[in-house]
Amino acid sequence: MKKALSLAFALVLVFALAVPAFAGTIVADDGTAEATVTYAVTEGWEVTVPASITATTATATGANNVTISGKLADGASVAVTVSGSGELTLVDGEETLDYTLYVNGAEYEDVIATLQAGTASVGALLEAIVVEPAGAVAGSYTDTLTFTASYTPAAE
Amino acid sequence: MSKFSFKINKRLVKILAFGMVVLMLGSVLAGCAGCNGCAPSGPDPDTTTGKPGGVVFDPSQGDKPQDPEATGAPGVAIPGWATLTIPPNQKTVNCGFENPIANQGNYHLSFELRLIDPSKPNGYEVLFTSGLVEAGKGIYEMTMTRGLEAGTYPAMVFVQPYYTDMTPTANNAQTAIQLIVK
Repeated sequence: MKKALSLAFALVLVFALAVPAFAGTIVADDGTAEATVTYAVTEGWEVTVPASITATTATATGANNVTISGKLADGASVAVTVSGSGELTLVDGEETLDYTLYVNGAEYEDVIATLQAGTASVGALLEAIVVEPAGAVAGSYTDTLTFTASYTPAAE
Repeated sequence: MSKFSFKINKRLVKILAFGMVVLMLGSVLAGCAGCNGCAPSGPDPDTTTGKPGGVVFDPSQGDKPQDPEATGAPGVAIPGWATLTIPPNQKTVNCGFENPIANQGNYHLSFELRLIDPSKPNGYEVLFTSGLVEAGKGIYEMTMTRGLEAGTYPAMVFVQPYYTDMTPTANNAQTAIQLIVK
């Protein structure tokens, strides 16, 4: 009897080893099963702006110096604008020079560039154009430009 | 022989002719010597050999050094956010103000969280100001000047870049966000 019971228990252990362990539940109807694959794209973006701009007296062609890149939610967008005083002020002085901002050769109006969802990157060339008067005081003139990035979610 | 005629002295004629020839030759020679003295003493056309009295090219001459800004100095990478969510009535909260790795070797960033408030002199209230943040690093916890009640507030994250020598750049940037307090 004991031997029979021992043999039975041994067989039970052997059969238990032959059964693999499953992490989770699989519904198999006709020999097939399904599993869900997931992946998340994180929304985020980055704006690259020039640390400074050298004003010139005429527009020129050149590489973009303002870019927006990233991944946006469906229907969302990011716009970059810029603001400055419109006057370059003489360093250690009070003399000023008027300047005008240009984007891609055209006078700046309200937006430098806009990144739309589904687009990896956009860019533009921002320039500051000065009309130097004949009697301008020699020296270095500066002004600060502030770039603003604004996110607009998809319309509801 | 009449008083109006005279006897031609052949010897005299020869002497006079010889004298005239000498005089002519002498004039020609004197003129040539004078031309050499009057010639313009401009630079020797051959200016590479350094002939005495000539001008040579300066061996140190070169193209005008270009302005670093004109040569396409790297731009400043500014991170963007749409919202920042914080718990209500707490001053110390989590955040994620990061300096992108793209700025490595070029720029540090400082961050300032501004609550838009038209009643303030500058149009905003400063809730938090960070120190310099190196590229690849960030501020993940901030202590604000005050906690906020639950709600959604318009805010700006102002970013001031600095060169690696700690001087601020001429330009700066800001990102408009929704500060969600819940």
